[in-house]
Amino acid sequence: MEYALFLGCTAPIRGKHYESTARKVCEILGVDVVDVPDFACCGFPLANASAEAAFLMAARNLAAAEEKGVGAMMTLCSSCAASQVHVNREIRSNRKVMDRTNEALAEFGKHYTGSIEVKHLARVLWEDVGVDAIKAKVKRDLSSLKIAAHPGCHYVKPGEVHDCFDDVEDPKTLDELVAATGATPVSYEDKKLCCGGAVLGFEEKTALAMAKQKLDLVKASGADAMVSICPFCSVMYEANQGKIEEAYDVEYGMPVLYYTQLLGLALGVPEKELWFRMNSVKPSEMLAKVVIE
Amino acid sequence: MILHICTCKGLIDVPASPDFGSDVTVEVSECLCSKEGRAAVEASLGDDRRLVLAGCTPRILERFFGDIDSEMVNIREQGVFLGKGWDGIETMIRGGIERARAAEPVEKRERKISKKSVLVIGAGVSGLESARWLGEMGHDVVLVEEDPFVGGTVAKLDRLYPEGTPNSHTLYPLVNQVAGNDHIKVMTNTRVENVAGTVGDYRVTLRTSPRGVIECVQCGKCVPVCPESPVDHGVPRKAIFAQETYPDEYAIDFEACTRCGKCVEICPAKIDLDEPAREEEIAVGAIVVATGLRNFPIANLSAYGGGKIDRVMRAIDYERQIAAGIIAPEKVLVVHCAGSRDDNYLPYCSRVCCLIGMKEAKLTKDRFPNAEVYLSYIDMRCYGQFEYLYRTLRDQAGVVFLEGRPSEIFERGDRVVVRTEDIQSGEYLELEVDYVVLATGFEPDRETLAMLGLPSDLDFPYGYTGTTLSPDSNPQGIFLAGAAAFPRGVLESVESAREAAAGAHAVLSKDVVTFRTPVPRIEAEVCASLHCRLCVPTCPYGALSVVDEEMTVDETLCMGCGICSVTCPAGANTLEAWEDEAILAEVEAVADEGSIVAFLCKWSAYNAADRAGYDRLDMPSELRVIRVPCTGRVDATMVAGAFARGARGVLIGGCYPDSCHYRHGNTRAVSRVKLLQRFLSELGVDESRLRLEWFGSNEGQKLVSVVREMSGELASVGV
Amino acid sequence: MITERELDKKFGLEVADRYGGEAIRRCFSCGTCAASCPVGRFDSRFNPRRTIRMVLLGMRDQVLKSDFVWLCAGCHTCSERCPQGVHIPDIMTALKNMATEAGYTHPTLAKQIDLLKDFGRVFEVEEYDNKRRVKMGLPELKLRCEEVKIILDKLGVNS
Repeated sequence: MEYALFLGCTAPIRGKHYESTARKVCEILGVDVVDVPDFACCGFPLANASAEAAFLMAARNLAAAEEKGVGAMMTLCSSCAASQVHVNREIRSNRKVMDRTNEALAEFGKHYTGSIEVKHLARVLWEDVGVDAIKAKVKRDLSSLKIAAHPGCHYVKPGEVHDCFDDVEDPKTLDELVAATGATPVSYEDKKLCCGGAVLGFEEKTALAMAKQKLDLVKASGADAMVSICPFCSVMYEANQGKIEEAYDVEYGMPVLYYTQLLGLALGVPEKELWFRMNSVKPSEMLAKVVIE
Repeated sequence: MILHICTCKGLIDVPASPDFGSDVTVEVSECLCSKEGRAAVEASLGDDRRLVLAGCTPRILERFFGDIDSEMVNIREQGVFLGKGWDGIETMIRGGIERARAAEPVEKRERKISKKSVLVIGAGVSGLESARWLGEMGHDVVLVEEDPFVGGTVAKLDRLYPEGTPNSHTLYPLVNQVAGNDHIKVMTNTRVENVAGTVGDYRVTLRTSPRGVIECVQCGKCVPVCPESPVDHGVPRKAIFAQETYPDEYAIDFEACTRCGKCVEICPAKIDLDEPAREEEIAVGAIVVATGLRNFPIANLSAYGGGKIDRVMRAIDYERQIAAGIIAPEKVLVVHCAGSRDDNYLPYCSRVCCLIGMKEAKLTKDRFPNAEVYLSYIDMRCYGQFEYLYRTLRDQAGVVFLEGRPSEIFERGDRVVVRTEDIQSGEYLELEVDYVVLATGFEPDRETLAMLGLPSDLDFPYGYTGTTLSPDSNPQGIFLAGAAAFPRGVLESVESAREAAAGAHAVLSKDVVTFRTPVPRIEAEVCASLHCRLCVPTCPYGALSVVDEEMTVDETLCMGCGICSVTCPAGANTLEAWEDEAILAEVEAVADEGSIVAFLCKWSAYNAADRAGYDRLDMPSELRVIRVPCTGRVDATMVAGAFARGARGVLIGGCYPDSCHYRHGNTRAVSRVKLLQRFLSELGVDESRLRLEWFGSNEGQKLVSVVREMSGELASVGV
Repeated sequence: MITERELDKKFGLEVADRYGGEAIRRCFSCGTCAASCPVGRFDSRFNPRRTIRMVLLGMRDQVLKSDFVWLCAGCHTCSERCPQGVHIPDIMTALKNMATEAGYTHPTLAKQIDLLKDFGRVFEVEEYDNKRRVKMGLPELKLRCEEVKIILDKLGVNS
């Protein structure tokens, strides 16, 4: 299993702890990761201005991965997954689209033949590594933890683009991944609710109201922490948690971990290397429930 | 060859002794379309059966001569009425003569109705009603039902829309009339395994599965001892049970029975858990299919919690649970169009679900006047008298109608949450209710339809039923009754069941049926050598199939459109009475330098030409009309033949999009004409010289305009 | 009131010609999208059903100059459920593109375009970031990507 690691824009700057722990768990679970310095933005935010330009940006990344000689690409961010998977699918399924794309890429000497498979990191863990293989490598007992998984939107939707690997109306794979660490995934209402990240730059109040709804429901579920697999979702629930608490005069203190941090914890990664200190809501209470040697 | 020319009581000037060559005997008469005319024509026929009738439009001539193999030349409506003199008329007649020369004789095809009994499949309300009428008419009926009791869906229901009358009103007298008729043999627990043969002589294999109860005194002792409680449409019963229809005996549901033997021990009569299944073959002359509806499985509706949330249920289960006193709802939402008009599930409207949904709302309010009842819909479809049900629900029952299709349904504690937009207020709405009723659509019984070789895919076979009793279809032996054809309510099912009974009666009451419509002739050797099967999917009626490696036409299904003939790349398939050679011969006889050859569909454009004649419109004299059954019958050689003779233009005139008499003949014509136009351009012929136009049967004026444009009289105005 | 003369009847067809807009005219206004929309739940200005209706009617300016046109989160909850196969998020993207082309670019988007042209990503990689990354054992990031600018310039995407 070898994947070009597509970092995207947000994770390597605002989610370094995500990137670091992702690399760590991949190493432990035998997923080889290759860096492609030539990767740039996946095009997702630019689609608002020009869907065509966004398409070419994603295609450019696919060409860069191919140039590197890797067969597959793995993203950390769900929106990166959505745009890279979607563009890849369009190019591979339509010869005309491929030709037109390559004409544009030729402008700077790039070319894409359609050889790359694209998946989100969590899908790689669920599909390629598998829940059983993860369970087999668990070293720490997390059974005392109740975790609210937030699958987010683009990890599974559009269903057709992602080969319907999960049920869009009842996504289960992230819960299964959480369960694989030994922690208990809690069910809560509106699990599919969007984090509002895509609206943040356009109407902050609305985006925060969306995130607040989820935090309310997660809090009510009695979860020790929330788990995310997308740096943008984490920005909404974690980085903006204080802002929401202030605006609505509420208190959550809800840690929002990246799934790779939780998984790393289960796999026995030294606590220091899980970078919990970089989480803006400190998961100290949660960690107190786990025996860390 | 015999040629009869009609002067139409002097309307048409015919010269003293018109000469069409030595082998053509000409007879001129005053009025062909009469009993006397028919007698004269019959008398004139000797050994040479080739016959040309020149007179009024075939629309009228066919009334008198439809069963005689002849070529008809319309020298009245499209001759004198359109200003043609004898020269023009003579050309038209020559066309008919050449066509007759090139045509193969059409044999009259008949089939003996050797078996006089009829099979009715399915003993729901439709099957019972068909059987009742056929029995009343004195036919011997075998009525088979898969379930242990007759009654079908209606027997499971509590009440019927629109008034909410108990099902007993309709069902009980019907069951009694059927069960009490000596002509009708009712076979429950029985499936049709196979059907072979054709109209007048079907051989049907029936399989009767064990009922388990051999003799029954209706003591009911078996019920309390039975340990199994399967759920039958929302309501639990025992694995041994009775139903208040027919027969008046208990039966065992062997899917639920564990063969514990407790019923056998207590039974004072006779139960046999090892009763064997029986097979038998019967022969019938006609078949009525009344297999009814299949409920759309709600488990497919994942956004609505279908199959996952107990309180989200099908209409039939909800109705039965209320009737059985299992539930007492205080707050209910009925969701219309659940999985209907939806590309992900059923793309069509099932017609009855709006009414079923409203019925559930009404019976909830009837039983529990204080219950809050909501009903969400995309469009309310309550045609005709059903509008009153809609009004009653709003006005008297106080049901709240919400315009908007719910987006998701989920559980919150022991309540069910529904999210929807109330479109009329524009508000986003969240409702918390006790129960959600999904008024889903219905699917056809694909297995039975497939076994009978009736065309159906996702959609119901209404294309088939549309033609079953059509006056221009060939005699059929299979009739669809009730909801088997398309979802119908009880009222309409009963009507359709009578229609099916009438159809079966029309066949069974004859000794011989005659086929009215021409069918394609297939040269087996040529066809077999190419083996392409291209024609099979082009048939709109599923009449073509490969039987024992040979392309076969089911004459009962064929409607004679000729679409398949044009598809055949080897020319091995040609439609009788409308053969390629015959049409081409007519084209070559009438087309000349500068003419406009028009292939006009007999259902639309040809009638438009008649209309132009009745209105005495100023039609360019260059027009040469070739009558065809459908634009889908026109092939490249016919068009090329016209151009080869110097035609200035070729017009193909048919029915407007979606309105083809043969479902999709005109769409076929569109793609063929496009191809032909490209081909013509490559040959240096201006592609505008080949035109395809749509006509209503009254659009004579449009036809005149189009022909004028093509003849260069008018600059194109783009009709 | 809006009079029929003020409507731009080509608007719907233009949207139908855009990527993902093909099925827009199949919409029968059932409201599934509006009831599914997580943005509309918290901000009544945004209603996908109403937006599509406005497009089909030809209310070009009312849509392209609106503030609601920017509010679709692109979560695809609606399109997964749409019974008529309308690709609602793609239509919203097309509308945002048309608004941008018409010069009504939202300031946030304009900023993102500038960042992309300068750095090839929507965040500038500062010296601090790479230092910090190295400290954490992560590879340094490239500071720029000229090729992204070439794509944007070629297609005339400007802030």
